Amino acid sequence: MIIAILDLITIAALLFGLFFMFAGALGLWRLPDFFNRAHAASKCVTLGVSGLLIAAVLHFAALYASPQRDAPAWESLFGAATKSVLVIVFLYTAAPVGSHMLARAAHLDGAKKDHRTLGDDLETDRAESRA
Amino acid sequence: MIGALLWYAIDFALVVVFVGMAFCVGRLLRGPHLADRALAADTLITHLMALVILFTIRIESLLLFDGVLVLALLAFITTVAAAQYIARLHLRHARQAPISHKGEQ
Repeated sequence: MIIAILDLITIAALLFGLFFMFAGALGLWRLPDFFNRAHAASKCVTLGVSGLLIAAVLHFAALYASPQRDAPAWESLFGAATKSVLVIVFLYTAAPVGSHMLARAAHLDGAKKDHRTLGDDLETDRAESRA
Repeated sequence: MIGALLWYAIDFALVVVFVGMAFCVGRLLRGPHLADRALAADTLITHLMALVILFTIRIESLLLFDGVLVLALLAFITTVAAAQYIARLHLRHARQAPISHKGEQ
C-alpha cells in the first residue's frame, strides 16, 4: 500500500520535473530574443532538476519500504537524500547568479531585443547616469 | 502494477529529455549572439543531469549519482566564464587604449 502511494508520488514528481525540462528547452528554441530565452532556461534548471531529484529520492524510499529489500537500501536512501539536498541548494543559489551574469554581459555587449520587449530598466538607469 | 507504470514513465521521460537536448543543440548551432550559445550549452548540461538522474532511478543504484553534483558545478563555472568573456569583449570594444595598471607606473 505505502509502496503504491510512494510510486504514484514518484511518477507525479517525475512528470512535474519533466514538464519544466521540456518547457525550458522549448522556450530556448522558440522565444524571440536572448532575454526571453534566459528567462525560460532558468526554470528548466531549477524546477525541472529538483522535480527529478525528488522523484529519485522517493523511488529509493519505496525501495527501502519494500518487504524484499536487500541490505544497502538504507544507505542508498540516505545517500540519495543528502546528495539531492546538496544539489538542490546549490542549483537554487547558482542558477539565478549565472543567469543574471550572462544576461548582464549580453546586455553590455548589445544583444538584440525583440520589438515586443516593453521595458529596459538597465538602459534607463545608464541613460540617467550619463545625463 | 504501479511500479510498471514508473518504468513506462521513465521511458517517456527519456524520450522527452532527448527531444529537449535536440532543441538545445539547435539553439547552440543557430544562436545569433554568443550569449545564446552559452545559455544553450548550460541547458544542455542540465539535460545531461536529468539523464543521469533518470539512469539512477532506472538501475536503482547510486553508481553515477555524484555525477549530478559534478555536472551542476561544471554548468555554473562554464556559465560564469562565458559571461566574464562576453563582458570583457564589450570592454575591449568600448575603450580604445588599454588601461595602464595603477601599480605599474
